[in-house]
Amino acid sequence: MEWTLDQLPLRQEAVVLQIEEGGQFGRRMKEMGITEGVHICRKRQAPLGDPSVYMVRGSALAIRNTDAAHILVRPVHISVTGDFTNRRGNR
Amino acid sequence: MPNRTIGLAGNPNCGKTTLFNRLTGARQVTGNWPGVTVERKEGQVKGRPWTLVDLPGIYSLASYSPEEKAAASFLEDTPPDLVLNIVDATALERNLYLTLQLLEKNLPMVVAINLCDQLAKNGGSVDCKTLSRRLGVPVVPISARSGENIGKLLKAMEKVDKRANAGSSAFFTLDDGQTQRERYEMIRLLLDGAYYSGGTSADRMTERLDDILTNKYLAIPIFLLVMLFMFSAIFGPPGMAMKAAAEQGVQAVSDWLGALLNRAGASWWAREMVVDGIWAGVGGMLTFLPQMALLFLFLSLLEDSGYMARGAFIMDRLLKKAGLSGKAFIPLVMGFGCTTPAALAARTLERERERRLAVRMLPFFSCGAKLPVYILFASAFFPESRGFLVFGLYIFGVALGVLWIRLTGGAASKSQDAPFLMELPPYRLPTLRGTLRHLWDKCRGFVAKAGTVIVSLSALIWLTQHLTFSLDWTNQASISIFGTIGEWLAPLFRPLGFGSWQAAVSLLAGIVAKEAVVSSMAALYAYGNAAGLTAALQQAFTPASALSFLVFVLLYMPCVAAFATIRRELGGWRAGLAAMAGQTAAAYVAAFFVYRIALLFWPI
Repeated sequence: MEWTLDQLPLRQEAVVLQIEEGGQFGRRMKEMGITEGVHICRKRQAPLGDPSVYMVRGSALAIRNTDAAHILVRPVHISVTGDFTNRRGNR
Repeated sequence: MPNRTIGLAGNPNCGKTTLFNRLTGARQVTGNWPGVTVERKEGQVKGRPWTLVDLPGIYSLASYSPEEKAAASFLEDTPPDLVLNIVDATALERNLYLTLQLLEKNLPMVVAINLCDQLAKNGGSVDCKTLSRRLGVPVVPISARSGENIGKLLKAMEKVDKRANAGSSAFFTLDDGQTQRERYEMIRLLLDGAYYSGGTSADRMTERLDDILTNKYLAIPIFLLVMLFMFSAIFGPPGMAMKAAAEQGVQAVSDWLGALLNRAGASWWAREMVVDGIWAGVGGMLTFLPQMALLFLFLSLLEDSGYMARGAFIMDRLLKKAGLSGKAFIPLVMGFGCTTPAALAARTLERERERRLAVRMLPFFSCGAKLPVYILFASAFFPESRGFLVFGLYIFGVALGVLWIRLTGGAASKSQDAPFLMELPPYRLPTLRGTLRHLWDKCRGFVAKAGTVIVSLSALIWLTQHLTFSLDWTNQASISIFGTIGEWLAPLFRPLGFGSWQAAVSLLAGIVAKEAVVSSMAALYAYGNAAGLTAALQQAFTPASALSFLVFVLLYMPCVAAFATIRRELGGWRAGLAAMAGQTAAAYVAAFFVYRIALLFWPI
């Protein structure tokens, strides 16, 4: 199943598959840590519906729906809150 | 040892400013980065021969935004002797992205990990030794806020500076052709086993506050209440009382200055020019200072606590259409009070393009000083629908402002624009020290920069008000250069319905301060008899020309103080004057159409 990021339900965790747009847009998103394979979770939605807050790599980023629509994600069905950094870490 | 330059680099919201203030104390100089209106700060590090240059808060060195460009070209063109990179321990992964890019510059470097105490509170930990070994540069855990380990940081910097060799890591090889993804992969390897963020990605306090402050139903009412509180504190009784006190102070200085010059035997014209011309202008600006200080205080608290980002998050949807983001809401609302502090409040907008847009849109938000003009005319000509008319003028101004920005291409370059990506930092309690420092910087900056323009402009205007073209002295406004120019301008306003020289002179006086419009009208139409003013205006204006006059007052160029600030924020005379000319042209066209349409309803 593939969704765009803006279709992700609240509190749903997902893996970023692809950022559809290149150029400055894609670059900026990636610099902020939204790269292929990273876990992302839609945390909150603004009262007027746009933008939404996403948790990625430990920080909360507000992204507008029109921008989020360019990011393809696959939902992950284990609901573990929060930190994605160290799940792979060997502690 | 000669003076060394140190570049301080880091993400926004990582405590960079706090560290900068802690290291430099009061020895700071502010300016702009070349070519952009991004603030540049530098200062001397206490007890060391080091000049610390505060780079703009950036996430990356890719030179897209003016902030990034400024930082990148600083590192390229004038490489500092040392780079001090401050990172936020609670979002280390993202923060290290910039660190890797900085390492690629091959400059001597020290990494300071800030907010380690917060990380510990979240239940996380970071192993600085391992990280230092892997990065190949010293890594020092600090708390910029409490000052913990600052001594250790300075020692590490000293050591690196003495060796003066670039960081080199045995752990990985750097290559600036890396993709963003590869860099983040590398960061994972770097942090593997050396960093644990504590399980929850944001602290619990922030979570709980956000549940309320960004709540679907509560967020907007709370935000509006905060705005209302700010607005009524600044422009309501508290601010007004402070302003009145400042006015008294200015008056006292004015009296004292007059007496002093008298005693010193200065000629009467010199005395009048200093007291009624220059000091009146400067004093007029100083009377704004208490309100400005209040505004800066609130802005600083909002920014430092993290609520500003929430406000922007909540309001973004409304402002998106105008090419702005949610953060522009606060400066724009302040514009209803006074354009001058509002233009400075626009500094909180991180993106330069958006900041310029907001500053250009601001004068369309009717400022408080224009209200007496509206009330005067509305009561004289439309007593029944007074409130409606005044409210309508405010709305009309905002609508035209949005339209104006659209027409002049402000919001056009959407596709080339960076996506709106805003970090919501964790809530933090602002410190007294940081807040006062911020307040002091802002007030000082305002007085110093706006002051010079105001001194020269007020002297010039005063002279033209008191000299005739044959350079004779006069106290009669109508035959002074100022009045004569008013008379020349009068025919220009005839198509708008108010072609009298009195109206033109009043409008000219309004450039000094909008308060002067009503007082000039009182002097010119009713010879100072305020009670007779309404009757005199009813003689001189028709309902249609009154409406047209109001629209013109609403839209034409703002006062000198606002102009000085706008000029500064737009980065030069050219841009400043262009904005003023455009604004006045828009006022002319709008007033013309309003007059013609109004004539259909109230034919003379």
